[in-house]
Amino acid sequence: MNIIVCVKQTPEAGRGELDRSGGTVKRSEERQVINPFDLYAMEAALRLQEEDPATRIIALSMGPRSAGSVLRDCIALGADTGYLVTDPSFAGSDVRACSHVLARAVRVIEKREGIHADAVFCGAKTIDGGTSMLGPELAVRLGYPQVTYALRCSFREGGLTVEKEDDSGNRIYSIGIPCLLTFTKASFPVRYPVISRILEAESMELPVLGADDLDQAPAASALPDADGSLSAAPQGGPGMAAVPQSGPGAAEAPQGGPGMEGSGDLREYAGTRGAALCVCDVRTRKLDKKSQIIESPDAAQAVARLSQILYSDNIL
Amino acid sequence: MKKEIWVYLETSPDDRLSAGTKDLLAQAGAIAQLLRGAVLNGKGGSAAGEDIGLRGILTGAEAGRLEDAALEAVLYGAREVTVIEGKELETFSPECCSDAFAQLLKKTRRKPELILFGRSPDAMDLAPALAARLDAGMLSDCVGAVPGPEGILWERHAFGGSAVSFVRFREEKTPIISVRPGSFGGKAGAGVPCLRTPAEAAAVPVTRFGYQPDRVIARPSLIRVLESAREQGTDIGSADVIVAGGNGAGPEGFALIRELAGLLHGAVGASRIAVDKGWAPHSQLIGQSGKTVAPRLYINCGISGSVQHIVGMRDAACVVSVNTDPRALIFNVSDYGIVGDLHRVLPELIREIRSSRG
Repeated sequence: MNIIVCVKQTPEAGRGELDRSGGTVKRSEERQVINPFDLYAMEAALRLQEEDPATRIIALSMGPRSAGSVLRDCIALGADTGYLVTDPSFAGSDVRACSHVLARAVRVIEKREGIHADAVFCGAKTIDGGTSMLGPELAVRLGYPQVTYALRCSFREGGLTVEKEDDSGNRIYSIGIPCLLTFTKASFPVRYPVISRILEAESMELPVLGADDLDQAPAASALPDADGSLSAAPQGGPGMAAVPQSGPGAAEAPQGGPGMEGSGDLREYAGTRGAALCVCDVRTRKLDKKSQIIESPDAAQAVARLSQILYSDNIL
Repeated sequence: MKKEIWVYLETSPDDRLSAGTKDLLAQAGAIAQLLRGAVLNGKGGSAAGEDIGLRGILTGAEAGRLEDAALEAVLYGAREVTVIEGKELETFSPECCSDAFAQLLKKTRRKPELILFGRSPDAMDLAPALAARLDAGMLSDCVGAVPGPEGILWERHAFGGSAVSFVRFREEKTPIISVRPGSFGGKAGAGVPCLRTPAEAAAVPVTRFGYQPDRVIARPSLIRVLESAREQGTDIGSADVIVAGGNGAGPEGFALIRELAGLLHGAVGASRIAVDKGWAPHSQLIGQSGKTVAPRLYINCGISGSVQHIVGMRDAACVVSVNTDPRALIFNVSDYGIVGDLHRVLPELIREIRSSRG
């Protein structure tokens, strides 16, 4: 079984420092870590590898050169290798563009490694953009069936058994391969890397794919039924040059891309309007309401006062 | 052709319209108002002065079973309803559902101004899958919009709610947008007023569209559904009332929280620490790495109010906080606060509510 795990580098606290003048993210000052949800995907892949030691795990990340560090994190955890997809033209990619690029990268990796990807694992969402869109979009572009918000999975005849988180009762699915799964936090902990593997990962040469490498890939793009009259899809080349021109603009925090960089015209717009991308502290925005503290030495009295207010305001 | 916004309609297991869908129809109505007279996109598309109607889209194996839901959709604001019927749609899958949607668009040659989705688990799978099939742009978890000279700017939060981004669609292709519950004036879980009389609703045409995939579509198959993990039968995403606990609660505190939630027909929520300590399942986590909620009433107990938690609950209409620490950050975002021990306050509150109901 060959598993490609998509990982993204995100700011540690999940909130990048935003540069007001440019509408961009000052990423350099943030400590960059692997998106926590991607670690759950990585953990699920490692658990499959424990079930079947013949399982090969390839980490894949798209982003600036510095994103190589999250690939090394994955190798330290047990991934066999890691591919970095990076190119100046990918900067500011939105989810649509990223899913095009990653779908193509999967095909290039298959060719270079001489394998078929049996499964692509992703985090269910990122802590920066947080759109939860990358996995489902990538699945469609690859033509794979998908299960999102998976908690765990294991091998079964011809595929995998997957448990999906669901408020009305978790669902168990059987899914054939190849497939795409996105993972959320399961009840089991994620593992820590072994020191010897960390050192090994540090010295490892990681393959890098640029726009040209992806261009040479066979045109295996998904969208089998894209209809010209409706979608006028720029399905010509591998899509990269055309794609960032469309979709919800570059200001949409991308997953897998190098960050939340406001597009040129959004910046212009910021000039006329004050802010297109604005920094705001959650505590001051819409939240200037301050508790009316109900003071009473006695819990019963405080509660009586509270319920009186709530009933008179028709809240209860 | 009349301009339309398409709205994905979801049903509950009894084939009635889900509560979240009724809210979405109200939100879609507000968005249609906003679009009237606005510049739609960077290509200069405009809906100036035009009337924009809502078309509800239902999917299922038998259109007959969805008649009541279609009627409800009209009562709640849809101008027309299309039911996509196909045996592959018996159970939901993003694979077949997105294919059916794409086929409907293709065969009817329609081009809605927008396609709107809610934030249910199914909608969160379907909307991006459809976006990829159409190669359209998508914006998820939209919380608002403002008209701009070169198109509507759609608002969403990023970086866990600490930043706001305004996004404009640059092309004429139909954008796909998922809408956060409680935004655009919609009230999560609250009763949305009926907009028409049943007699008026019955006169509205419901169109059937037969779906047949033109190829084999690989999809996962559901083996079984595990015992429900949710509390009180209420999902926190659409709950009207939520009672949540944090580090200060402990297992006994959560027993009280569940009791109070049950009494108020509400759902139970939890902070990250409470989930990590195993007092509540991850599905009840509210905050950056969990769910975003906007109930009418949010009662929290023993939650200090980290930024990560606040971004998940700040849209609640009324916030009541119980905390022993008078300087807890949660009090900065609350309407009412009681400084006290939840183990003493909650039993009183439960008693008070019971007695007021006789």
